[in-house]
Amino acid sequence: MSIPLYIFLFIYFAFLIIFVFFSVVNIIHIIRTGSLTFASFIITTIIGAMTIFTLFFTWALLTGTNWQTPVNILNINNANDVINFNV
Amino acid sequence: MQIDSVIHLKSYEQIKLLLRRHAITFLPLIGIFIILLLMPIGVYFLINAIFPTFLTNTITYTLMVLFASIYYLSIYLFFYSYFVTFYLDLWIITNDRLVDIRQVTLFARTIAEIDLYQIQDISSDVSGFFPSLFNYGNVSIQTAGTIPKCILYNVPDPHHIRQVILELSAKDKDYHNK
Repeated sequence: MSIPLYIFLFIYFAFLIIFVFFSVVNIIHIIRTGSLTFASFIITTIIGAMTIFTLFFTWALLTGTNWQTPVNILNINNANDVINFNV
Repeated sequence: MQIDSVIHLKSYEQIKLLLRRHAITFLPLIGIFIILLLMPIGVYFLINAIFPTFLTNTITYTLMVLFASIYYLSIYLFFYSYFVTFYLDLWIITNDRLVDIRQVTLFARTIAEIDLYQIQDISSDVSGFFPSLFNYGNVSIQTAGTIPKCILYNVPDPHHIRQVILELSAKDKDYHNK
């Protein structure tokens, strides 16, 4: 049984939606409780910058990937091709 | 939004103290966060040493990059959510009342109010190596109201805060006894 690689990309996008939702909830909490101070601004900026860096790095590493590549699952021979012990 | 509108400050009220937990109590989480950030680097070298062909395969390489990205974004989100629940724990002391705002989880929040004239007993304690070093601890407040006890956790300079609350409480009692 095989599935195309882009299925995993869709799972990743679904995770990103959850990530954005919770991040926005956190930011709304900070604003609505009058806690937008220098400390909370700094932490928010750092986390935002790290998120942008991670997303950019992910995009850069996956540029040129053929997302139509079939992924064989439940196939033990495929696993043997990938995992070769360095002995 | 200002803190005044969050607690609906009355016309005669003035905010005397605005307290959060001492910043030093957040440091352990920063340590854990840094360890979690570095962990994938160790795992990468481990995988390369044990399974040298693992990351040369296009499929496993792609999946590992996606997994690493999800891992990093998850720890950013957990760290940020923890920071928000830590930072939104807040105690506001005015010349009339004490407002205890507790962010229990991201979607659970409790707000309690204590009238200063109802305060019966206050104690402050600083116990432990780091609390003594950085001067932070708990302030326990006993009241005659509907909320019998309120604790201000890990606030900086608890003995001074106890003194300030005692003075404000005495003034408020005088005002109510007139």
